[in-house]
Amino acid sequence: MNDLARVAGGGDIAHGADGTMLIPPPARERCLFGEVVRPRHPHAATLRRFDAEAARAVPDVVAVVARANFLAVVARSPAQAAAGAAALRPVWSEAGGRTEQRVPRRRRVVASHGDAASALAAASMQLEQDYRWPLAGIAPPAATAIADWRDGELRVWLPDSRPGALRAELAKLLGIAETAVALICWHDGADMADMAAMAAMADMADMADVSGAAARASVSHHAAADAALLAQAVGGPVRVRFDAAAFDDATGWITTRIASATTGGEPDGEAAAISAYQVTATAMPVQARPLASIQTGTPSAVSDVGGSDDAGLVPPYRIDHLEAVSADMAPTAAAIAINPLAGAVAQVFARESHLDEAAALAGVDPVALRLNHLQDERGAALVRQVARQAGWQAPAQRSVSRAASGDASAGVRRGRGFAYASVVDADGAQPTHSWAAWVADVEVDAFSGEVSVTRVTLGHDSAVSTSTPSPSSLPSPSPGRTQAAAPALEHDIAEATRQLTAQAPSFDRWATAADAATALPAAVGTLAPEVRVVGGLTTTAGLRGSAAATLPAAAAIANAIFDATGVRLREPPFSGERVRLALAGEHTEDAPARRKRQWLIAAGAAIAGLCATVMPWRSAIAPVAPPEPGFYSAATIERGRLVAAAGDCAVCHTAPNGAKNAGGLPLETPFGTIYSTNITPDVDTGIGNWSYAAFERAMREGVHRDGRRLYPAFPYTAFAKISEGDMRALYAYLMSAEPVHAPAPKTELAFPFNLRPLMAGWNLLFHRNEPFQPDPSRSVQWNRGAYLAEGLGHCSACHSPRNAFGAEKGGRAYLTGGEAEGWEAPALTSLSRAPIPWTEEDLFQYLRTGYSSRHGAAAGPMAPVVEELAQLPESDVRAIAHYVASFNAPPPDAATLDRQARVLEQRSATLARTMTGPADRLYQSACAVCHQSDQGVPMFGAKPSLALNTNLHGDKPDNVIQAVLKGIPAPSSNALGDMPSFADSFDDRQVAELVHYLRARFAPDKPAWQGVDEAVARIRGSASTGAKVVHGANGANGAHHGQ
Amino acid sequence: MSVPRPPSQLSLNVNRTERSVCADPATPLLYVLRNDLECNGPKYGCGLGQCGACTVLIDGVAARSCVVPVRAAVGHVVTTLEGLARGERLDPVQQAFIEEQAAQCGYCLNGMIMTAKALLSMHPDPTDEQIREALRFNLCRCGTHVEIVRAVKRAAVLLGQAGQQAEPR
Repeated sequence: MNDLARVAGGGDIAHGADGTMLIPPPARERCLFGEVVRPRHPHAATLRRFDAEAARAVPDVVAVVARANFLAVVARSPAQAAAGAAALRPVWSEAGGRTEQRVPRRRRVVASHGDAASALAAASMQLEQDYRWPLAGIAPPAATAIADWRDGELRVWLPDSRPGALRAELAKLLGIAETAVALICWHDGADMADMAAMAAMADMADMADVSGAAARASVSHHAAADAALLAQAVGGPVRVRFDAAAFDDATGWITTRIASATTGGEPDGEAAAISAYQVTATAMPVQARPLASIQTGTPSAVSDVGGSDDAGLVPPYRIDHLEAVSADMAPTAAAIAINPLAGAVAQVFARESHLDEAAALAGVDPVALRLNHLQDERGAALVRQVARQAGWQAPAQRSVSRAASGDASAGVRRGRGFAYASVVDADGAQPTHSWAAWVADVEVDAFSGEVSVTRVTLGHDSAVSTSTPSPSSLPSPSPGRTQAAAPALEHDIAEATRQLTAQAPSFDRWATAADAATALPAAVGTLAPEVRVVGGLTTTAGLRGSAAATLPAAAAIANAIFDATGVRLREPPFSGERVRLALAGEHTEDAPARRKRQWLIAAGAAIAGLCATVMPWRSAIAPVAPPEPGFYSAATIERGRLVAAAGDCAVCHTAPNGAKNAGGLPLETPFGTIYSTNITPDVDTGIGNWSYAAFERAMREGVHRDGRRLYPAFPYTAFAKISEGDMRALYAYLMSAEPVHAPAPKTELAFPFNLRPLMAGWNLLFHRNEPFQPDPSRSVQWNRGAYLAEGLGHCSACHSPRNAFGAEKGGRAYLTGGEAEGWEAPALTSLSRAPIPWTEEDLFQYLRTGYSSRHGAAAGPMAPVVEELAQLPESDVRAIAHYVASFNAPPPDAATLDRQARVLEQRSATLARTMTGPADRLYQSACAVCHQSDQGVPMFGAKPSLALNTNLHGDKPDNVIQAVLKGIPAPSSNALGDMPSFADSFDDRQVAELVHYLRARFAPDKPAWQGVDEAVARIRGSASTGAKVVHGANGANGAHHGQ
Repeated sequence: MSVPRPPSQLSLNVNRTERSVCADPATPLLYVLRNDLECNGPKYGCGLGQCGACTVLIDGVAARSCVVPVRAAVGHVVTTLEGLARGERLDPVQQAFIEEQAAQCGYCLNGMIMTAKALLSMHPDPTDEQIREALRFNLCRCGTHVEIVRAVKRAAVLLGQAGQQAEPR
């Protein structure tokens, strides 16, 4: 308890730097979970009313907490808390509005000496550029905090060690003394959960803070305040997650314009120097109070919170003529996730990028250029140390040695960049001076533009800023300490680089696994950079390390990308798409001529496209040697893997019990049986000798490498929409797979369909070879869903009707239902026959788990689609659900849906009492045990309701017959059991009787099905041809599966 | 169509013991229990989930192990007939079935006992009506239904006497 007292009374966040007194947070099982409900503009909104009773009625909800405009639910599990929060249905009114958003800027000269303006005007070598940095950090951050309230004392665990005014704010918020508040630095995540890990963390306490998560700093304060308020309300430990992504205004940019003049600049000229430097930064002021304090109307504990942040605007270099100007924007209503360090990060990025540009312009070594201007010996020593450790060479020398070693691989371009930062942080008890220097090595995939950071050499040093730091006090690196720090630091650097190289939100962005998981999963480890640490990692009292270590990250990576490709990126993120576009346009000259030429090219392409489409025979594309292993970057191959999963390649290109993607699966079409081909990189039987051009032509135009036309059973009509980046990545993925020698059976259709050249005419009529165009009037999520569903996912290939030529009908018929492999593919639009309308959430559950309790299980050809979708991140599956849901009328609310479901169940239960006879006995003996939730004992998993089943309400009996005869293998992501096949226990007459019974009992408002007998015979016949064997359905025959 | 799944190493908790098996994750749990783990209490009856002879408890809830793929049991607690007795001491439900002589051929008894066990964990003192409803999907072709209902009643009494909750694990 002594320790606790020290923590509570101490001046800073308890850290356990001595490794003994770290207090672990309450175990997850002991915690309650809080869900705070906020409007999208929480600063400006007033809470009008909410339904507390409805929230309390949700099982496991412990409390509803409302204070002024703060509203939250506490429950025993996160899911129940979310359910309770949803039940609150609060009504907010937005006061004030956005009247004062556009206030004129205020210019303030932060530093000035010499005469920068005239020096610039006089200079012969001048460079002026704008750099932009997103205010909220690159990805909207999120944080989890735990608060425990006991005996009038508050303990808060939060992933941050920079308390700032947080302690005072929390004390004010809870109406207690500051000494009753204990703040404990803690990082969420499975690996940190146990005591051993906590102890290890104590050892690297100073490093844990480097936490690339400077971005987490402000959100962790919001989370901490939310948790504190709720812990006090319920009198026990409460866990709260705060996610800035939920708010609109977490955007905004700092724009920095830098003009400089360089003198000297002879090749190898040591004398090159910046003679004048003028910087103007435009930004919004930082707001640092926790939202809970603002929403409860708690007066501010600190008089001067936030304010404009000029941190880092003045360069740490000695320059003769200098001017630094800060121009403020008026604060917008909510700048929720503004990172207090954003100002410094933006300035370091702008300055260090600019110096690299100036050095490249003058043809000098960027490190030497900086050293020429570094007046601070401790910083200069760190720079030298990092450069030495990284084996830094001037770019000119490096290109020579690279050429000599034959490193100039066409596929992957490598480069390295340097950046340096030196900041004084006045946030803690004592101002701290931090230095950081980075050398980043990158690999850029020349085709996809994908950037991966392969290695980071980092030096970091800090000292309590008293007067001038003594130059001799640079501590030597301590190996033991560096070892202990490595995991946390690697995590931070991996996170920083991942965010920096992430794609801007766009329809073809693939979320990495790390986006979804809280901790970095093992899979990403292969892509994480190798990290080498040099320099002193000093522990100072008060502030332990700082986020300063990751300050140079962005500029170092941008400079490395420039070194690798000659492409200069002046705003993050450094996405593959941006790099690729810049690389594609790198040979263009002045703009007007280029535009004209582009227009001509476009017109030419259109004409060529037209000709190509009509020409019945296409020329072969010359075979090429398959790419060497290691030709593509790991990031590109990983992206390609997701593309392939979304495109369901393996579903059709894998035969039962065959090797993946080796082809040979028979596909029954109305025109005959088509066999899928081998798409492994085998030279003889696969696509091993296909160039990218040949691959792309096949994917977009349906033409084999040898010029032969492909049948549209291969949905190139949809694949034409795939973006260039995804197409490249898919090619990289397929070509990097293990080649399998497997000749596919020959497709032989009856005349006239065996005449492949006829497909040219078909294409002219029915195929538009156009990439996906996002609809700017729709959200990013909708466009993402549309891209996945229309292009890669080719939903309409099955779910749209086809005309007599086998072409999909578009327009109003789009997604109105079709068929696939003897199954009916139901309408996905408002023409759906589902007795209860599909909601976005139901669609998501169905696509993610293969089962929706209000509709049924994914079966037949849809089952493997769900299995492939399981590889995609959740956000993508949600996007598809969002897109498909947009074709339906907005569904009624959850209560109405539940009522509808009850009415349907009741109706069939009533009917059951009067329905007797042989079919009823069949149902009772074969079906009821798993489908009647009101009979027998509860069973493990769910009892899927037939009264709500979409297929029983459909226009055709086919899917019901398919399910009865062939069974449904259990969805792999669900606890449902298999539905067994009844083909061997029921004859055709029994199946038909049962199907009629099911229809009459569970869809009494629908007409009886016609032609059931024929359908049963047909479907049983198709099952025996073995063209499609539903995996797992044979298990019911009693034969023991081989093991 | 489905990409063939190679056999994989699966970890199962069966009768309070962690067991590891190598199997296609889609294999019915029943096959793994009987063939790999030598738990022959659950019987292969119809293979269609209809008769109930294969019933086991998963997390204390009845499950037809012939239609549950083994992967669905990973991470859950499986109890078979073998797992009811503690050492030499039979479970009260087993004891009651013996005392009431509720078996003729005995093939259905595994399912009857396991389902009764699941029932008693929810309703420690069931009515005749509740017992019949609970066992309606467990088929017995010998016709010992009357004895079986009596056995379940007696099991409820024994459980009450033992003063112990019907604890399925």
